Order: sequence, then C-alpha cells, then structure tokens
Amino acid sequence: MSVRFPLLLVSIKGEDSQLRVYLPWMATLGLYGLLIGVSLCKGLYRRYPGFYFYLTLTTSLELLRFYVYTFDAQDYLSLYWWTQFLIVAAGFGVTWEIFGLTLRYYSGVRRFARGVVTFVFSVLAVQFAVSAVTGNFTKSVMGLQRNMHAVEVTLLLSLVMLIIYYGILLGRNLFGIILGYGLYLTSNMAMLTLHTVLGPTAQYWLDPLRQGCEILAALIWCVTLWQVHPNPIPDARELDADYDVWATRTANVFARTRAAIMRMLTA
Amino acid sequence: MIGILTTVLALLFLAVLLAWALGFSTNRKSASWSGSIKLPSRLIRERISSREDFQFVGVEAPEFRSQFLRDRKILMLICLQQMRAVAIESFRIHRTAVSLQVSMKPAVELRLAGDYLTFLLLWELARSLVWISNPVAAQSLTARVYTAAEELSDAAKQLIATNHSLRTEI
Repeated sequence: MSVRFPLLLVSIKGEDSQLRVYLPWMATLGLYGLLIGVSLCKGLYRRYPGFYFYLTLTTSLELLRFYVYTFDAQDYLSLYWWTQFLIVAAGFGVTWEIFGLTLRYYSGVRRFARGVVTFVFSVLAVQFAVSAVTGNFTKSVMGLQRNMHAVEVTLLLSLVMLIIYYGILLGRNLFGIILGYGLYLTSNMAMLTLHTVLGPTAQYWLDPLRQGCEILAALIWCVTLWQVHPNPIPDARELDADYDVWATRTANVFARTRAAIMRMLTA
Repeated sequence: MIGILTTVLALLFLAVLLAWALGFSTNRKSASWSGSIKLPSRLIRERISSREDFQFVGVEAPEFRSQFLRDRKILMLICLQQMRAVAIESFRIHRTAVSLQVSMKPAVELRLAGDYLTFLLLWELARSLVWISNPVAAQSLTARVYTAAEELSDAAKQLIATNHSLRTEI
C-alpha cells in the first residue's frame, strides 16, 4: 500500500536517509502482516474478502519491491509503476466492497451507487489502456493514479454523505475500513498533487507525512478490525412501505411550511 | 487546475470523515416520532400574542411595555426554533423510513433535499427578520409565525400518522 517514489529513493545515499525510508516502510508492513494474521484467526477474511485481498496483494508487492530496492535498485522504477497499477486497481475492488456492504440493506441507494462505480471504473480503464498504448507509461500511470485516487475519494465522499444523510448503520469493522482507507487515499492523492506542483524537492518532507498517514491508517485498521463487529441489521418493520406516499407527505410538509413562512415574510 | 481541485477534494473529504467519525454511533434512530418536540398549544399561543394583554400593560404599567414586547419577541424566536426542530425531525423520519425501500427514487429524494434546504434558508431569513426588527414590528409578525408553525405541525402529524399506519400494516 505504501507508495514509494522511486525517483527519490534511488537518489538517497546517506545511512540516516536509508533509516528514514526503511523504518516506516517496515512498520507499515509489520502492521499489515499483523492485520492479515488477525483476520485469519478471527475469520475476518471471509467477511471482507476485497479488503483483505487488497491488503495481502499490497503486502506481497511491497515485500517484492523491498527486495528489489535493496538488492537490485536499477529495476525498481519499472517494477514500481507496473505493480502500482495492480494496487490501484485492487483499491477499486475495496471501494466496490465498501459500497456493497454499507448499502446491503438499502436496496435503492445500492443499485444506484454500484452503477456509478462501474461507469467510472470503465471510463478510467479505457483511459489507462489508451495512455499505455500511445503515451509515456510511467508518466501516464502517475497521473492516472492520482486521478483514480480522486475518483475513489469522490465515491467515498458521496458514500459517507449518504451514510450521514440516511442514518445508515455500520459496524465497527466497516467503519474502520472506510476511515482508514479514506485517510490513506486522501494522503496519497494530496501527496501526488503536491509532488506535481512543488517538484521532487518537496519529497523530502512530503514522504514522512504520507508515511505517517499510512501508519495511522494501519493503526485504525488494527483497532477496528481486531474483533468481528458485523453491520447491524435495520429494523425489519421499516423494510417495506409505500415510497410514493412517504414522498408526497414529506413534500406537502415542506410546501405548506414554505408557503406559511412566505406569507409571514410578505406580511 | 487539477491540483486545486484535488486539494479541495482532499480537504473536504477529510472534514467530512472527521465529522462522521466524531459522531459515529452503532445505534440507529427509528422512523418514529421522538415525542420530545412539541409546539405550544393554541390557547397559550393566542394568549401570548393577544392585543388585549399588550393594551392592558400599556395602560396599567407603561414602564413595562418595552420589556413586555421584548419578551414577546423572545417567545416568538423560541417558537421559530421549535418550528425548525419539527421540520428537521419530520425530514429525519422521512429519510430513515425510505432508506430501506427498494422503490426509493433518487430524483424525488434530490427534490425533497432541495425543498428542505429552501425551508432552512427561508427559516434563517425569517429568524433574522424577527431578530433585527424592533419589538413593536416583531409583534405584528407574531400571529404569522404561529400560523406557520401550526401549518407545519399539522403536516408533520399527517406524516407521523402515515408512518404509524404503515408500521401497523406491516
């Protein structure tokens, strides 16, 4: 899950800088390992397969990157970008899963939201295919990554607003996944944006900031995914009713109130 | 341009995440009236806004007249706040009830959200008007405020009755 900027890493020479890179990297990997271990013991893997697949994939690829960076740094650049696409693509799977689980009992909203996710992902896949064939792959994948993060953030922002708006109930596990993943996405998107605007020199202070956010996200997951906390099931009596009746009544409430206030204001 | 957009998006998302996390609860409010919000009865409202009392104070204790009007203005602001609370509760009931329904229509929901926002804006306007007006001018608005509150209360009662009958049928 960690985004290592190869241009910076390759240029690092001093031992202190190496320590500065390796320590947070290892800490994040250690927390991911812990999360995967806990999920296997508690059966969380079965409940959130998309998220744990993502976590496992990321951990595996990070270990591969770590190995290549340590022993064969010349190949790190190409490896980074190719594996990064896999991670970003798997991230969309997490977003999909979050939507599906959050809106499991909220049928109307779920259908609508899933359509939006599919459409957006299809558009981005086409964009990636075109840029991979015609353009500079490394350059395009960096922009694509930021854009994909932006799309994911937009989708999650919409979802969180829907959760607040409709009072959707979540268990602690899903709450933690959304919170941690949202924090991770936002920090990466902001870092990619600032990197583009400020240039590679800003990487020196951007990287610790982003690594801190990643560790914080991992800690949030550790706390919220330590035990199984499934999503509460809403009251079955509320599962069916005549929507049109509801909508008409509520619209009447506002129409009458609006009219009354207007009369008051124009008096 | 993209940089600005993504930065704004990141900040907005972080703010919403923080607000959500701080208010996170695993308990869901039900789609029924909490019963804690009540408008004052018609008798009390009529008594508070009656011209007779105002004239009585004006004749018998003119030194208290301005204080009397100020108190009425405060009561009217309280009434407006109760009115807003009723509207917010009504809309919360609506959202809670329809969120589980397969037949929910996003377009209708968007329109209702627009109605709700319009109401809140109008309410703020009305409150500001009452707040900045002098007590005598505010007094002339009293009856209108109470009428508006009554309209809302009646409509909200209908909504609650619908909810009750639907729940009973299920």
